[in-house]
Amino acid sequence: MENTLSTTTDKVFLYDVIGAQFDTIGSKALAVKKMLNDYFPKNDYLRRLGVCVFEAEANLAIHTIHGGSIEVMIFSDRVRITAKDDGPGMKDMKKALTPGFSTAPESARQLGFGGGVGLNNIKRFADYFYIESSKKGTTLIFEVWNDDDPTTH
Amino acid sequence: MTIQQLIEQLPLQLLTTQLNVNGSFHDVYTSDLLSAALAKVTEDHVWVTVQVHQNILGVASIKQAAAIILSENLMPDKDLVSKAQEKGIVILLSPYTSFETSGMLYNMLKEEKNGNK
Repeated sequence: MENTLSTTTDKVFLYDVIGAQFDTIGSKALAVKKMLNDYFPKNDYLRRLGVCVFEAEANLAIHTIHGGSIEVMIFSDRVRITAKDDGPGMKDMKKALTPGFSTAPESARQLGFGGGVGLNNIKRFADYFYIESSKKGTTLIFEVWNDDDPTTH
Repeated sequence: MTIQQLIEQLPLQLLTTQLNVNGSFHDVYTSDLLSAALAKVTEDHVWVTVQVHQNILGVASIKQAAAIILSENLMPDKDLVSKAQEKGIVILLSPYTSFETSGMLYNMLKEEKNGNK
């Protein structure tokens, strides 16, 4: 399977995530999973996607000023998710990708978030992972391919 | 082991009384960190936690967990229980700590495995 980002599709869905609202985290991930069931009715595949979208949603809700958006692009053999926000961005990308490191506030940690493994969960369950961040915001792109499970490799 | 057997043997209190408890599980995962549960729980797992807020339903729903056990008799609010029933997620209440609950479950599953040999 080619790993390119040039493919086009007309199946694009957009979900907004509200910032600093923790009690609804997971609702967009569930909505995405439910929507994708029409295209990829495979439990394992949908669970992998669900985990990745949940983590992206949690990051938008916990770490942004104004929340952000989750764009879902559906291709015949894969789903591409783009999570975007407008800040404040990650100060140290290397640290942010280190398991166990988190800048989540105490209010989020008390709910079981902020373990510092969210991005690593996405890396583990996705087949393609890209992230860029500045003070103006963070863009996270990942794809989950509908072939086999990378966690079993 | 079925959820019904689990409820009878520990014993546990079934909070989602409208849900079917004929489902089965063969493993247990214990964590209060949602990302850890997201990574490890499967449809074959019962998840033990002390978290009693709405987000646990999202995790259990995404991973299709067989049931959630809330330890130390930590009673969730009615809203969580009714949402769990809507989503079809079995919620059980344990009077024991997560450690004790997990230990008992470990022994029960081990016994079942040995009995089947």
